[in-house]
Amino acid sequence: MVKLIQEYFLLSAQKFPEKIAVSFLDQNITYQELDVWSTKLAHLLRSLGLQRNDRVAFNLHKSIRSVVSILGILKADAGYVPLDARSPVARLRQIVDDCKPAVIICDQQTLAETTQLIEQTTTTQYQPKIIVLDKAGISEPLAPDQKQHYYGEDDISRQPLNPMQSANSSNDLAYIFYTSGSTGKPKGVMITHANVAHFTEWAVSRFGITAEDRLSNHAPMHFDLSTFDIYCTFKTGATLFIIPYELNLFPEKLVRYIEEKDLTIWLSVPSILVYMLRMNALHRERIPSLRMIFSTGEVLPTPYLRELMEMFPSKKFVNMFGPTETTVECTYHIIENIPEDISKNIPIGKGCDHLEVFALDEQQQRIKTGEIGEFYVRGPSVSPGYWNNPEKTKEAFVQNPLFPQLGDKVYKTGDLVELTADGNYIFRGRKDNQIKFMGYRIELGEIQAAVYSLSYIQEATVIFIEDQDKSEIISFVTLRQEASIDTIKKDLGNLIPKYMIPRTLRIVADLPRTSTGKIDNVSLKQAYLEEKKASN
Amino acid sequence: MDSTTAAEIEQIIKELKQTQQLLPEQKLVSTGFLDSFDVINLIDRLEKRFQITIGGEDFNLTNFDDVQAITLLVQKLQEIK
Repeated sequence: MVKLIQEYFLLSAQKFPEKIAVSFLDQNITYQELDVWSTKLAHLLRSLGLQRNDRVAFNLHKSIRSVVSILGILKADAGYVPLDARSPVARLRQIVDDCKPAVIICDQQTLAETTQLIEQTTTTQYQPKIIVLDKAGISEPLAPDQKQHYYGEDDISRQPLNPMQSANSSNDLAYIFYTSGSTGKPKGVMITHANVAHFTEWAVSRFGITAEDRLSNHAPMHFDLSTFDIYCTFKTGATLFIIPYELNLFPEKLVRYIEEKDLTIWLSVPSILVYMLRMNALHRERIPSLRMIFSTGEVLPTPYLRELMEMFPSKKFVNMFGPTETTVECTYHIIENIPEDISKNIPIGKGCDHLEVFALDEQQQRIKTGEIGEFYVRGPSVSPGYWNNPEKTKEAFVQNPLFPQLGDKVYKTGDLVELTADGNYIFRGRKDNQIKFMGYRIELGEIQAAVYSLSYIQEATVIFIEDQDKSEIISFVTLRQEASIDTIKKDLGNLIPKYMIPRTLRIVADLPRTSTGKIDNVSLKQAYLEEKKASN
Repeated sequence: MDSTTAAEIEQIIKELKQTQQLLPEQKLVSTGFLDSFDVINLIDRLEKRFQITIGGEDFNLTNFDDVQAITLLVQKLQEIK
């Protein structure tokens, strides 16, 4: 096993210098070219005074530049923090204020937002430097008094080419991924080099990924599914195909893209697979090159899986499961047979070989077959905790309840699972208000906090309506002052990402209450569903 | 182009997005105004309302980026039927 995860890339770059490492739209970059560019970026980062375990954020849309950034940051002994370039600046600012990256990398497309992001940072005396990847030279001042903080492509190209000497150990930070936080503030999950290396070793050997493979990168870089795509590619010397966002809307084009690029491995949230099916883009004779299809990140709907397996009997289908805190995945289930009963959930399976997973009942005893309990994960790819958040870390990373004498920490997922007779687990929901919607992990509390922050809102409740393929987030609000639904949605758009904004917003005079005085979400949900049924 | 059909489609989109603000020339898909979730709902509603089937090939940017284009597609599919 490697000590630092950039070594996967370096070893493959020695073996296959001329091979395409990453492809995006009509751009291809070889292992050697990627090595040169990222080494120069690493030298520039170091020259800016970067220290070991500093954070470097990148605010980029899907592109080859994001992979260059990842490698450059790792080579400079720092941890990377991918920002969602499509999120509102206010939300990105919370992340930047929390992890205080020494440098933020962007390109011309995201320069304006990035400048705005640091100009209005609430933390005083914190001034990150900015690298603009495609700006030839920063000759004219971007912001008059801040010229000295900006660096461009010229600054990168004059850097030396000699390989970086790493001081990092395998327990140093590789990245921080921010997920939705229940109080309205995103939470940063720290992942180390050792965490990623253990996961990658397992995934490559378990699924027999080789240099011949052509992997999809469907998830955005701020999703931890991208960890599978990137490191399985680099460990094996395969090729990574970054899927442009735009293709997600046009299933026919996406299918054609998979065919034209001869992709062999596909990993994504199931929503996109379901979308391709629903839009009739998939047929028996299509996507012949794909040999493995991984579904992860949310519940895989059984009827659609059955349709896919009947359509493609020779492809391998794998259902995987894992929170960001356990590094991509902690369980997997290779689906051998077409499911007969479409009303039954597909198991999330058993623990990955490098991890131990178990579920406990309320008495902290292991659950028996047929019982439901809370899911725990233990082992070398479990995160050391949340960045700058000892309280949340303490709540979720707890002393091992089964073997307290060992003193190691296990991750308490908050997921409820059922144990089946054959030793598989089935996902049965959450203990709290965390949901999965279109593949995104969302805390309803974060949406609620955003709604409440609007001055004209008196009271609000946010509800998730779960349905096999038509789930939605809805919200009921009462107002202090007049505001239209258009205004509320527009104002929310400045605070939270688009996918979190409730699809349906209802302005009501009063919210119903339970006998204890709480907002009665159950009756609101019921009334909404009945109304919806009647209108269909 | 049939103006009643266009008006009905406009109304469907307004309901779907819960908005009163929709300009006739507004770009729907290329601007991200509609995402995949909205598109599935829109197609469902169009199929039900106009008794048509919208196939995979019909769904592309040219046919779906504004109300006028959707109206032309709907009319074409109604004629085929």
